[in-house]
Amino acid sequence: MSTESVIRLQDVTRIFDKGIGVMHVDLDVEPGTCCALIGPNGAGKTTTLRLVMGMLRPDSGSVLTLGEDPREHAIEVKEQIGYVAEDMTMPLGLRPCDMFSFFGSLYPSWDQERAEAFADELELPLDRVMGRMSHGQRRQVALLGAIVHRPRLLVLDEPAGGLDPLMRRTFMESVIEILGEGGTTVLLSSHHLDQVERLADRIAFMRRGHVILDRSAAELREGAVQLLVEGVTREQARGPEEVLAARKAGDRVAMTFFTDPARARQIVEDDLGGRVVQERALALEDFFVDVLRGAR
Amino acid sequence: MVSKFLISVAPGDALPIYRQIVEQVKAAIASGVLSDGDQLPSHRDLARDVVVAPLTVKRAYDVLEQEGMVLTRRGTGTFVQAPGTDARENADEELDARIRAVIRHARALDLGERELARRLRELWREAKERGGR
Repeated sequence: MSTESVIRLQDVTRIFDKGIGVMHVDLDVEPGTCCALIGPNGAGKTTTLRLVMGMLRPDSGSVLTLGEDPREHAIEVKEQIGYVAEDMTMPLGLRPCDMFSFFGSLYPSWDQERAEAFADELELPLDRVMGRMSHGQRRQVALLGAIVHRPRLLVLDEPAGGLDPLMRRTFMESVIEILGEGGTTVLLSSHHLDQVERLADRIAFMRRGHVILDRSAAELREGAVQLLVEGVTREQARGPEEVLAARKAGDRVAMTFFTDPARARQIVEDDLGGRVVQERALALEDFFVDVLRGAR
Repeated sequence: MVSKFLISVAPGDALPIYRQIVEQVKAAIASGVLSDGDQLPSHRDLARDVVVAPLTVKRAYDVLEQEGMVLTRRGTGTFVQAPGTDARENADEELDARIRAVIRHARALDLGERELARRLRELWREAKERGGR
């Protein structure tokens, strides 16, 4: 673990009255990378982001954001973060230029020229009240409020939410621009796996409050393998810890592994005494769905 | 710098994105779209171009460098390396392997050499008419 982690969560648990928020979550995000949290609704993604932002207190465990406790050093930390919430509502009676003045008073490093250059590129009308803009345009204003001051950390909750494909692409381009400038680390949550694949270097897969897999995007992609197997029951197939999911496929069993394909075959043939009929690499979305459906 | 070749990635593919970039750069070198000494776009420019994280491009370039296809000179950029006799040979071998697979397929369908050759000529002509070379 690097001591310079931009985000470090150690054994963090936060329970709500309504149920689990996050349980025993560890997360380390290195500078300059983009880490994506994926998982179904209620997996704990937003809770994790809110803990990182210092908007929630952990019941136990420790949260360090930019090396500090984000609740104790709330102002210093927040000045260096950009945040776009999933449900962020913008004041409809204000214009982007009013928002820019507001952001300018919030962030010491706000750069008005840069804000106007971005707005120009995005063709955002600075003088129109936001009530008369599209949802996508309002989100762009929110994004500018999060990136123009060159934050050390950019936190995005469901950045694809409610955007059409063109707006989504523009939004991604802005994030890539920021990553390309260097100096900014990104933590995002998303249901949109295409977007995750384009943006993330690191993917943490959450389910029911736990991080069940946390790997580089390439490792996650290359370690996800599915074998179609004969001579093994589904219950047997679910035994080995490398098996993330197993489901029936006629009289065969489809086993989803997270491991080296050669190791996966070895487990089936040597440990379980089965026979491999077919092997395939899994696309991220297939892997995701398989793991959720075949959850042990 | 604008890339000298077209490249696009498909998220959702079984091949990770950095691998897709590696394969497309290799294909561009093998087919002569990129030749010895050509400069590749910077991580940042290619990232912007194909809309992926800059570190993904870096990873792809690192693999290409390990495989001897490109050379990164500090401060100047990444360049296609050597006339790529290796690359050309590999490409030839790959083509042979694919043709062999087609022959096996044809045999399995009980097609003779003449019939296969006839179909090849026909499809070649078709491809040419569609604007290929």
